[in-house]
Amino acid sequence: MNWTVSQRMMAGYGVVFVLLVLVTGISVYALTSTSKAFNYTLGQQAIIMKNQPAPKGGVAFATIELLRYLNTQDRKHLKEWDRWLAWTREGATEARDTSPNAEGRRGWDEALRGVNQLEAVGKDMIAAAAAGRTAEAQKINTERFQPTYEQMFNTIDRVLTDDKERMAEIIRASQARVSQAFWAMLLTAAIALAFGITTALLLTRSINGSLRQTISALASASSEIVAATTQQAAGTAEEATAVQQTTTTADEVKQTAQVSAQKARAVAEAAQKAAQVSQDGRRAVGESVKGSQEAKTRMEALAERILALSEQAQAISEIIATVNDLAEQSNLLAVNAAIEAAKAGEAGKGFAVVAAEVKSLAEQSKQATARIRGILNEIHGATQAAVMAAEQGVKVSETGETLARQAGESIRMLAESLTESAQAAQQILASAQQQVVGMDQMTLAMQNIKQASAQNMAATRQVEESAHNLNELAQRLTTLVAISGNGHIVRSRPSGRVHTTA
Amino acid sequence: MSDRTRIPDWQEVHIRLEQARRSMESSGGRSSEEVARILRERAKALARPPEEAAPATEMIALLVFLLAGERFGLEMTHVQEVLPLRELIPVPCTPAFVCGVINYRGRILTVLDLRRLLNLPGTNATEHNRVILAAAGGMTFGIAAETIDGTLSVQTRKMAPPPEALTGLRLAITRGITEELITVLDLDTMARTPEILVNDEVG
Repeated sequence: MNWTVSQRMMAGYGVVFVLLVLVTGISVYALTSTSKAFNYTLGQQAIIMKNQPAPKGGVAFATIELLRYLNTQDRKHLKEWDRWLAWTREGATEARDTSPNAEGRRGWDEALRGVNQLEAVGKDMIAAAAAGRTAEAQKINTERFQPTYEQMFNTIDRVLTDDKERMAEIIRASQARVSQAFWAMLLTAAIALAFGITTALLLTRSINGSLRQTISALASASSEIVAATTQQAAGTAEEATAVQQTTTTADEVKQTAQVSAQKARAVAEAAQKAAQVSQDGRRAVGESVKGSQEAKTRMEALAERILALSEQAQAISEIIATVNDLAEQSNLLAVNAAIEAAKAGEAGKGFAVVAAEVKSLAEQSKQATARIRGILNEIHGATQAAVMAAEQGVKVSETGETLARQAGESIRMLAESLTESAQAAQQILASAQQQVVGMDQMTLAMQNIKQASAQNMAATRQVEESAHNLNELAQRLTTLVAISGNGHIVRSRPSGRVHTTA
Repeated sequence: MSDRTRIPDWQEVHIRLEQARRSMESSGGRSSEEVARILRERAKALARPPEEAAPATEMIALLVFLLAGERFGLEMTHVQEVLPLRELIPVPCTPAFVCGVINYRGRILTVLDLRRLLNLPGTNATEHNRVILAAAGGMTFGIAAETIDGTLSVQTRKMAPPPEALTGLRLAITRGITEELITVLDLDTMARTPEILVNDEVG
């Protein structure tokens, strides 16, 4: 229901007031009727009490029965004695209990004591009578029982009278009190009414005032919250986009790092292989150098041998010269022999033949030596060529050795640079792996951010809802305090939903 | 390396070396059968019947030698000996055809250069290896020669007269030309020629 606070307040108080009036009325009525009833009851009580023989009657009857018993010895009377005593006790007890004041109660207690005394005396009497001591019984009766009975009778009377007086007093007092209460009630009702109205008005005003303050604060707070929420939503959207981009970039970088790690690993392997190859190459170069040196040594040895050969050829040529000389001389000899043979004429014919043979032998010898000389020349030429070839060979092998050394040096430098590059590749590999680890960490952090962002989103939505609720609350409060128009309540709906990728 | 581009088969080389060694070792001495064989062949060759030359034919024995590209022949009757030409001592103030003198077994012999004497063409650089010791006209002298071809017997009727182109001393001392184109010289005539007598005095 859309009542204002004052209206409700008024209504509330009105109801209370009506109830008060009702209650007052009912109370008055009840009071009056109760007092009437009470008066009536008291009156009746007085009457009853006036006519209350009960204890007195009971005692009397009991005594009668006792006397009857004493006279007749009929146990029936004894029973009646007991019954009437009990009845009396009951009545006295009842009267004591219903006695309005302490004095009354004391009186009735005394009466009860009297009853008990009476009973005791009665018992004595009965005992005496039962024992056949009738005279004793009579004595007891006159000496003790009767006085006791009278005493009790008086007591009861007194008590009754007191009670009556007291009752009348009570009636008067109660009547006075009723009228007092009646007036008091009226007065109280009036005061309550006035007080209530005042309080209602004051409360309403104060409530309205603080409500208005609260509402305006609430409205501004809720608008702020909504603005902040919108910002946050936008910010969260941006954040989400940024996170996504970063994650994608991190993945790309990670892939790149992995690729580069792969490549670095491949480079390291290739460098290792190349190092192996260069090792082999250096070994081969070393062997080649060794081989070149050996070849050079062999060549030099060969040259020496060839020179020795040449010297031998020279020796041969000297010998051949000697042989040639011998042949020449033989030739001369042969010629001279032929001359002598010619001089000798016929006798010298045989000698001439021999001389001719010697000459031909000498010629053959000369021819042979000429051939040999030719061959020696050839040998000399060949020796020269061989020595030159050996020299060239030495030069070539020297060149080869130099080249091989250079090659070895180049290989060594290559190996060094390969080692460097392998080390660099190792470093690249390590850094790429670190990069991968770093990217993983970043991805993890991104996921955390995403989670936090999602939580943020949820919280923002909750806040949005709360803001919306606040707004509604503010509106309700507005109607409560009956502020019309827009005032400064922002009617804000929750701004466009912000979509976040969770 | 040399111009032999063929890579030698070392095996082949070794085999050839082995063969050469064996042949060299064996050529030092011939087996006795070979020696006997050779001697027998020689004997057969030598055992030819002599030439059926008419005994009435006159033959002269010549010593053939080479000089300035021509072959000359000297009669054996004039030739005493052939010597190797060594230690030729040139003598100044002598005619050109006198080479010099040599010492032959204590005797001083004059050595003549026939080229100068006969005005033969030829270079001075030609080597004279031999000296033919000749005796003619009561003189003993030497004739320088390049090489001695040997002895030869020729028939005088097969000798051709000297060609008409020759003049002077050449014509005088040329006896004739044999079938083998050997110019036979007449030493007697040469020895009697007054030009060869050197009696110069150096003042």
